[in-house]
Amino acid sequence: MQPIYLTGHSRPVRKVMFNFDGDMLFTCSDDGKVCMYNSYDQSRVGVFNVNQAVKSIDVSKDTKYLLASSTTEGYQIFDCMTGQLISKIAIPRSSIQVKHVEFALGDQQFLVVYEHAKRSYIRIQDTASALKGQTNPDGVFEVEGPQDHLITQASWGPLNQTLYIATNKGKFYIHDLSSSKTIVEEDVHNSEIFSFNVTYDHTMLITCSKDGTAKLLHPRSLEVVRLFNFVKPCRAACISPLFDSQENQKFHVLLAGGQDARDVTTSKASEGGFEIKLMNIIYNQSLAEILGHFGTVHTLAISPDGINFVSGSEDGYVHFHKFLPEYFTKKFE
Amino acid sequence: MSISFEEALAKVNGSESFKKIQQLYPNIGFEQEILGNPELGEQIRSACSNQQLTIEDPRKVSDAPKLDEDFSKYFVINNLPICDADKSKKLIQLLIKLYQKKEITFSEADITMPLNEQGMTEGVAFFLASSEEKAKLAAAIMNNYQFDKKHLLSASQINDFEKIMQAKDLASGPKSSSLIDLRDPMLDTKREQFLFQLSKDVHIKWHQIHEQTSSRNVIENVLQSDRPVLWSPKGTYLIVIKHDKVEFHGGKEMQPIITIPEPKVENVSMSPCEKFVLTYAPTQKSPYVVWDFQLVEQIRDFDQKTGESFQTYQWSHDGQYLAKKFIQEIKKEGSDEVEKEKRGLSVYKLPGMELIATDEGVKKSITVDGIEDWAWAPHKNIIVYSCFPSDDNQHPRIGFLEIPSRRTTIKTFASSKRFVLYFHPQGDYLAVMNEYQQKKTTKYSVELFDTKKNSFPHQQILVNRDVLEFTAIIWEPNHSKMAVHTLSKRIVEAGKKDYTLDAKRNGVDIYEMIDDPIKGFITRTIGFLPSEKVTKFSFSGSGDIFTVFEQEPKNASVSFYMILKQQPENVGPAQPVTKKGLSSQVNKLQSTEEKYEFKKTAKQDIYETKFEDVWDQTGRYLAIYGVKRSPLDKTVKSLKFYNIFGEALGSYDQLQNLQQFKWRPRPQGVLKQKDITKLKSEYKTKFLKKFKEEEKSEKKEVNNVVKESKKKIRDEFLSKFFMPLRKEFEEQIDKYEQLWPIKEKDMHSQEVEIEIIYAFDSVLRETKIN
Repeated sequence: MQPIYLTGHSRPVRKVMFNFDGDMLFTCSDDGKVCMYNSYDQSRVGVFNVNQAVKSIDVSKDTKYLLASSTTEGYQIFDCMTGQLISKIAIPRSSIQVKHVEFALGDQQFLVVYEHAKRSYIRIQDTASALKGQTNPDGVFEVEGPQDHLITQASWGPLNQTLYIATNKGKFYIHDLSSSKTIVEEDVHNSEIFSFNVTYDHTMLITCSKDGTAKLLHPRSLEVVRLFNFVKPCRAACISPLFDSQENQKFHVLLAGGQDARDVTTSKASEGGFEIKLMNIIYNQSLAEILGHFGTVHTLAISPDGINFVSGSEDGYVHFHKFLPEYFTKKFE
Repeated sequence: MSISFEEALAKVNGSESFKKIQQLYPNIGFEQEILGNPELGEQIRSACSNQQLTIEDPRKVSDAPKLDEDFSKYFVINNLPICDADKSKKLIQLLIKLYQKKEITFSEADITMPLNEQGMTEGVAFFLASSEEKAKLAAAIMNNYQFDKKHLLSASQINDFEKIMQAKDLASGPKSSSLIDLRDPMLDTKREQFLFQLSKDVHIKWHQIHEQTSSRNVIENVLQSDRPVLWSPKGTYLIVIKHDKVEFHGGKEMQPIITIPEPKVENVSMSPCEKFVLTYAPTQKSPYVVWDFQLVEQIRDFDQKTGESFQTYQWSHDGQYLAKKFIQEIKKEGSDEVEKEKRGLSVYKLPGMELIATDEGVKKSITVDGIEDWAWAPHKNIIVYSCFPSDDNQHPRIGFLEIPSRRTTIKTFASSKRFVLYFHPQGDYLAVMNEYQQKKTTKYSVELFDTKKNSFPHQQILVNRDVLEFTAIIWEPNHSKMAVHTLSKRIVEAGKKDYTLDAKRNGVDIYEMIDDPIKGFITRTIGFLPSEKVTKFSFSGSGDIFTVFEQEPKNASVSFYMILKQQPENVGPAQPVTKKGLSSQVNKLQSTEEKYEFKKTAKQDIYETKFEDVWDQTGRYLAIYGVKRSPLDKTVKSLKFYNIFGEALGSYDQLQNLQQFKWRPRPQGVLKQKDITKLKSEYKTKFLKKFKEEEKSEKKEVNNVVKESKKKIRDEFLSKFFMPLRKEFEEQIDKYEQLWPIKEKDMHSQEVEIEIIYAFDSVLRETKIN
């Protein structure tokens, strides 16, 4: 079915996400805006102006606060209902690059991944202190990233006790917060891990990398369980939340990516690899390819009910897809 | 020529030679022999009277009378119940009755059942049939016949028996083979056999769509061959060339059946009837040897002449004749200068391998002035040749030479420069590429002949493009379509801009031949398929399906097309026309309006740099395999199979040193045309249901296997990976819920609106809105 094109952005879309209930869709872009959509009728509800390229966003579980990164400054917190800027926090270091932000389960804390002088840092702050604004740096502590590696994404582990950390040289760490030590360390990919996706119950972890593969890892031991071949650099992966559904249980994953933006003009259209692939996790079978984007797909999100999915791309468009009724039949098991 | 024994003995007796003979054959009394066979007596007598001291075995002397060695009418049945003489008569009666059921009659005199010293039979019966075919048939019926609980009969012809005995010596352990066994692979109509050779190892496999059902190997072990192996024309034997012999393997187990003891053979060609063999061993004194295949006897050998290669000798379609082109240089006496060249064809008749005779009975080769190219027709004993007579007054011509009557039909073409012959695989038509000069420009035309008819009706297709390179003419097997593959100058249509820089354009013109009562046949243009990078073109034998191979800078690809008939839209349902003449006219008009469309069904990438493609004989499957770029190329190649719709079926990867790939041929023309039409008409009523059911059950079986394997994978995934982690999560769910209520029902209840999502008129989901 033809997707709905959401044209809220004028620059590459960096992240799309649904809120916890699935009724709101947030997208962010390099053009310095965060758009909020109603995910039922796809109407734009609000725009948050950051005035800086936004590489990453996150929404608190009760959809009260929006945390947005402001690439060269720090991060900002907005009120979702009114759209007001609550606090604007600059990281007290020069020439930084904020890469990733994420709320912990329960919204008590959040983490910010940033880069400074070729080292990566993970800054963890209490939400309460952040809401007070720049003045009070209470409850802030930083985790220094490994040497020679740059962190591309970090996420909270089970019960917020650990951190999953992926780097640009294919390494994957599990960092224990209480002892502040690395528990598990594994060379998963040959080249940069662009992103990874964990299910809410921490049973499945998928990494995707520049080397053209996506890997399903054991989230405790980081053992490779399945290897998905995407051929072109894989930038985003998203596990369908239907894996624990009672009626139609599906172990499916969406993979997207494609060649680098700079190669697009020098190669054939068919070499792009901008198709979104739907794969079965268990049998490692390709089920469908969804066409539409004409630029690298940076981000994917599936709605919590597993009926819709959204993709954001280098071309500035956000595509809102609905799975066809056929998808919920036996054919797509 | 009658001579009494006394006379003969008196003449012979006492001489030294006779003593010698008696020493040679101490067991033979000679009385009866000499009386019974006066010729033999004469032999001995003449030998003795000439006082020859070196006495040969009279049976080996060249002009000795030959025994009747033709056992073709005989066949033998083994493993019959052992009984005494009285009961054996009953057994013979029983066998006669059994054969009567199959409508083959034998009398008691035709059956011999030898007895041993105890007066018991040995479980063997010899039969004399009325003809060779009958013997074959009768043997085939009784082979593997369950006579009773204990006795499984085996039957074979005496001739075959010899072959089997030979095979047994070579093969390990007792194995049986018979005519039915030899034909075994042909009885499987669903699966095709193929072979591929990795340096010396020959792998013979089944090609089947469903991989799981049974083993893919035809034989378990791998055959060894020093040179590329061949299939015989009907696919009965596999020809394996070893350094000191040529082996013919066959049967279910692929045992050596017949061996030709010719050393250092490089090439072998078998006659299409599988009765004669031509071997080529270039280091031998007479490299070309024609063999009688069944008796393993040399019939004739030929010397090597300059300019001759293995391809010089060609078999006719039924194996009755062997022909070659000869060029004889006639020199002036006393000087080395070549005065004149005599060219022509030598046609040898088998099994004698003598030149065919003219009407006057003179055995002579056929002189054809200026012959260039020639070929046997694939369906009749006709030789087609192209020639450019040395006499300038005579035009270049194409000749049709009937063998053995030597009746020639000639078609001349003025100002031709080159001919290339392309025969239809079944011999229905002949296409000739004609390159001719017209006002200083080279032009091309395709000359078509209907070779089914005696008058050879002729049609011409002018290739009206600016042809730069004429690649090939490709015929559709079993049907009457033809493709002309050319590289021509691009024609820019009026009003359209040409954006490409390349001025050349590859393309394929497709035509169809239709029978016509007046002209013999007419041609109809089906269409032009323009394609920039087409390198190869091939038709499937199943009809209306063709493939196009394209070379792109990085990799090659193959596209599968279907020819669809497009009915003009405005033509309504056929209206009844009262007059007969009118109706035919209407039909003609309609036929001219028919349009064709090429529908691309699939496109597949080929990752080989150099490759070959082969359709199987039935036209159901296409195999594409990698070919060495140079003899030193050591990269691994792959072999892939596709069906007619271009779906990939299966593949073999990582083939080191892939030498060749061959489908096993099936014998053609087993059924007569009448039987084929009968089969076709009966197919729907008799076989369709049966085949469909078979297919269904097969599919079910495969599906079950797939399902089981899938279930296994799923169970393993769930039990080993997912469930333990999930369990861990569920144990800790209280802790999670302290942080955040994860499940929706855990959230405190509120009054909510309900949003219903519809998709295609069905409710997908009802959702609460806060």
